[in-house]
Amino acid sequence: MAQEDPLVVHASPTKEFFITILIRDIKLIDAICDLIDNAVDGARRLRPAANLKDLFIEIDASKDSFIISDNCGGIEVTVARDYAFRFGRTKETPNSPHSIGRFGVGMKRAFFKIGSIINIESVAETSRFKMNIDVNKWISPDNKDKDGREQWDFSFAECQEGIENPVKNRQTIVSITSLHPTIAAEFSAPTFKNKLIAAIESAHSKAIENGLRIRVGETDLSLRQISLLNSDSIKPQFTTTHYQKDKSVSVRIYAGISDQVLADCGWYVFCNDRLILQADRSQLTGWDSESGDIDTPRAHYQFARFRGYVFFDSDDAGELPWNTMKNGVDEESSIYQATRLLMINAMRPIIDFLNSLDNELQADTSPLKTIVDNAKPIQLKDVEQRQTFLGPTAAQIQQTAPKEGRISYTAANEKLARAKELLNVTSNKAVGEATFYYFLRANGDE
Amino acid sequence: MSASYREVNYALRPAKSVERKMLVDVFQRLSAFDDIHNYRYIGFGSIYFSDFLLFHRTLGFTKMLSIENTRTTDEQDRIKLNRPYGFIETEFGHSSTVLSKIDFGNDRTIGWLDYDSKFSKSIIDDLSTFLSKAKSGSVYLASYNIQDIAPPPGVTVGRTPEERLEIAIGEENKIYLPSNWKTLLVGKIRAKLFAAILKNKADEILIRRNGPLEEQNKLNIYPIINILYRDNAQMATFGFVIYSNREKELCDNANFLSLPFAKSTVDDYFEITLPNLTFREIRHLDQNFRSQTEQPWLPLPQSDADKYWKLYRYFPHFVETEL
Repeated sequence: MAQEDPLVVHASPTKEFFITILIRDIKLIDAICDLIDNAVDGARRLRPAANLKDLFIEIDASKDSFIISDNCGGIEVTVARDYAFRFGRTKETPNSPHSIGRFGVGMKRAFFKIGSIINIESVAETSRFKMNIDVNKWISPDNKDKDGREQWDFSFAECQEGIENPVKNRQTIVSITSLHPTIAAEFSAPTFKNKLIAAIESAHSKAIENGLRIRVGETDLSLRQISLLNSDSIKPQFTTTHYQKDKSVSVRIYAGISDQVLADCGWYVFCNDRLILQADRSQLTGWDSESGDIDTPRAHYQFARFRGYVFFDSDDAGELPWNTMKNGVDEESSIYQATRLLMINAMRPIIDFLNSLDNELQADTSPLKTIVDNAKPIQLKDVEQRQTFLGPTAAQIQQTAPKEGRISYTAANEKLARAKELLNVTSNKAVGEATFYYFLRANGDE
Repeated sequence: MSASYREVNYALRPAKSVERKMLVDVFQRLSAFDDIHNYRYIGFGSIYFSDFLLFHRTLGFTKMLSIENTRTTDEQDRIKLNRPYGFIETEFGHSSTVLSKIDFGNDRTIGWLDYDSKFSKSIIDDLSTFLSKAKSGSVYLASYNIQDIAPPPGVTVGRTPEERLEIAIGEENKIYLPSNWKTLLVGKIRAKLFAAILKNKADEILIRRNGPLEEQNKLNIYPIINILYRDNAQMATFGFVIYSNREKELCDNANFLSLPFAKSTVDDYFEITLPNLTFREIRHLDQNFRSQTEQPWLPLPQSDADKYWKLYRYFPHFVETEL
């Protein structure tokens, strides 16, 4: 070993620290979704025309092992050697158009999160390889390179380049064993499989719609159709905006109403057709400030029909407003901030309509409810371009304003008792009514 | 919004009529951007439509929309009956809902949101909606009541001006208060407070809107109006022009600040004060146009003459007549 330069201050990361930080905040299900994302990207590269029929991804998770296999194109040796196993992307890392994979960290993060022995087999267009990673050996202080420094590289167990593999043979199989105890426990939990299925179905509804078959254990995932109510009197908003600054980004906003299910109400945000935000009803999507004037719990239920869908699309995934875990929006993204203004505008007429619908409950007739009941759900792909949400106009219905409003306040019990005495009543409600009408009469009203 | 048209007959508000005429001068300068009659005008016409009448006659707008927040069909019918021209469209509902529904398209738009009410959160929301869509060359104006009235005894909330302000604008809008807001809570200078809040909100909306836009298309605001006036309650009107970097020169050419009542900063306002003058006195002053600074031969206080000269071109003339 060469003499150490006394001026050198060591600043390189330790592998242990690195892994701890990497896997700390990602949830298991999100990590598995990252692996699915990579496979979906592969599928899209294989089929640029978007028909993904006959492509599949299969997952098996048990307390002993985690296996994910797919026939979505495999990983080329050159990609594995120079890019796929580095932590982070370099400028040279090739970009696939309209991709989901973006940060260069999802695959490794998922592997380390799940277990310590990782086997990868890949057959791609012009190469094939096998690789074994034993994380404990890799981390070990004995793992040094020829200069005596920490060894960060992995190595292939086998690899073959310059061959031709037909499409039907191309595949990737990853199997992870020596699972971390908490992970093994999660895999054994009876609800785990259903949660994972729900997450993947939401995240990749588009890919599933395009024919990709995804299976978890024995279950094939099904398509979650997004639909909005539509009729002559009710039409969802559908607008498209294009930004052309450095790279081109297009933003589609759909907004309308659907079933009255509170858990499903809110904004859904997609980046390159990958769902990253689900049923959001917070400041993040401009929601709070719109319904903010009302504070009874029942009032929030009246918005349960609202659905908003925002799709950000770009050939350069780096332009899109997602966070590194792909489970949320990067709030500081300028495109997202500009779009949020449009989302707030989209919401207003719908909230207004839902308020009117709710007010009808106090009226004698319910023409709005009839109109809503007669509207049919249509899929997003069938929604026509429309600047704003259309709800029934006053001309179509005899709109009656609610005739009564509720007044409610508290008063010190002593004063309350005195008022009851003076008014000769016994209930609090009667005190409220009597004092209200007393005031009006004293001012000449009846 | 209260139906204040039932309290004050709009046709008789002299200060308001002066303000309206001043705005004609403002809008005329928009021809630096485009043919003025291509603009769309949005306002709250009420049943009198005084602004609609004046602006169409003087400027030729044909794309005009009046928004009124009334849900009962009787009132809506009354409003439709009173439209001075058939091309004036009406939309009924809360201004925030209607504004968010309107497609501005490629039209430059003048929005004069003439609220009857006191300054409130919904005025800030409407600014947000308007500014999120307005094109370069558009104008935003808001008129509101700036008075601050203490609640009657027994009411526990809003006992101080600070509290009343916070309730009026809402928690989420406190970030738009200027740093000196506590000194602007009493009297006419409240007009400065509200102008500052609106400008700060407008700046933020544009930062968000501009983020993904190319440099030439980024938008800016140019405050031009902060007018104080009083017919019944103390009112203020704050307004600005919106222009893109590409059209900055057009905005400069419009030369808004050469108008005598224009104010380019929220720290100042122009107050409309009308002296009471007879026809004979007005005629005399006009004939002696050149000596605006001294009037020794008229038994009028100089201050009244000064007030007259400040806005003589807009001075209202009311006559009673049989029609």
